[in-house]
Amino acid sequence: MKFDDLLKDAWQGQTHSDMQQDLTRRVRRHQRRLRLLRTTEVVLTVIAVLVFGLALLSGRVDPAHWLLMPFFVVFLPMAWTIVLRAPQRHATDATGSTSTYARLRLAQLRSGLRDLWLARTTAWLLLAYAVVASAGVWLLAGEGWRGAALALLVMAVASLGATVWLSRRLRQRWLREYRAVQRLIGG
Amino acid sequence: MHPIWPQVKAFHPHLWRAVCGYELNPAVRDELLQEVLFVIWESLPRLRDPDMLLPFVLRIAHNLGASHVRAETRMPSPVPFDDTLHDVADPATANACARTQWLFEALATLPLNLRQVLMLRLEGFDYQEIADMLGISAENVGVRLHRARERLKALSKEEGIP
Repeated sequence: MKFDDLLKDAWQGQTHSDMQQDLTRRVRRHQRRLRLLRTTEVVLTVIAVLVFGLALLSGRVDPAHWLLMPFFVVFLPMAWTIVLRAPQRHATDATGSTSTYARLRLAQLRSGLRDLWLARTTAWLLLAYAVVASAGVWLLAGEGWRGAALALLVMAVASLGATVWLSRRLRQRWLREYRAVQRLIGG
Repeated sequence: MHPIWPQVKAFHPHLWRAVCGYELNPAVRDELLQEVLFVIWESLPRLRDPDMLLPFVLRIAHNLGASHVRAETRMPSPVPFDDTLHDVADPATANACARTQWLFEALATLPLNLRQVLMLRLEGFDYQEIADMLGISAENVGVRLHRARERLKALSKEEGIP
């Protein structure tokens, strides 16, 4: 038997053990997972907006609101920028030829890597704001403000930790994909 | 649901082979296939000629496969094989399975640009069709195919694959 025929036989021999599984059910499951994720993000944002919006509208703005509001005014748009601009594949992108898709994907990944840098910088700036605000509160303000300052500091540290962790994971993945796709074009 | 979607099911084996060419881990293969199916579902309205469904779905599978990055998943722990409890395949079937496994492991060693061309050729596409799918010239397809075949031949000789 010729080498090419052997390769063809071996290629055709690869079958899925679960070939009869309903494809529609799999796609719908994937869609549900994506919708659930997006719903969670929207719900969290709405809760944050409601908490601060109601406080402002009712006029009952306590120290915690004053200290945390600037933090969330920066944090929420930054988080949404990352979520919405992440280099996710849009369905139509993958229908073009491989070389077209590869160029598009490289541009998306470059933009995603820039956004990660922006997210890390913002998280560090928010921590700096939290440290300065907390120091001011401990030196100048009364007892009522100290609890709020501590909450702000904890939130800023948590936000920085989460951003650095997430950014490192995504950055490694996107860089590996970037190199793989770049080799595809270069070859 | 798009009216052509039920026809995609007929191409499931082709899609599965394409996915296997990019990923060796069974758990991650399933994930990648799911992603491919989702993108096909979303992009079916862009398909103009229903006769071109196979190249259309395979182009998506190869694009996603090429930019797929191996996720760090743990391989399932191996279960010891007991031939008194399991049916043992006849030698001819076992030999064919071993060759299939060798082929996909060998494909993983090829650079993406050679691998894609070879996989599409094994799927039965001609040079021009492959060139259109990848956005390269037919001559380039020939060159890449020759290199890929030579590498696999050398590998099979090294490993003593019949």
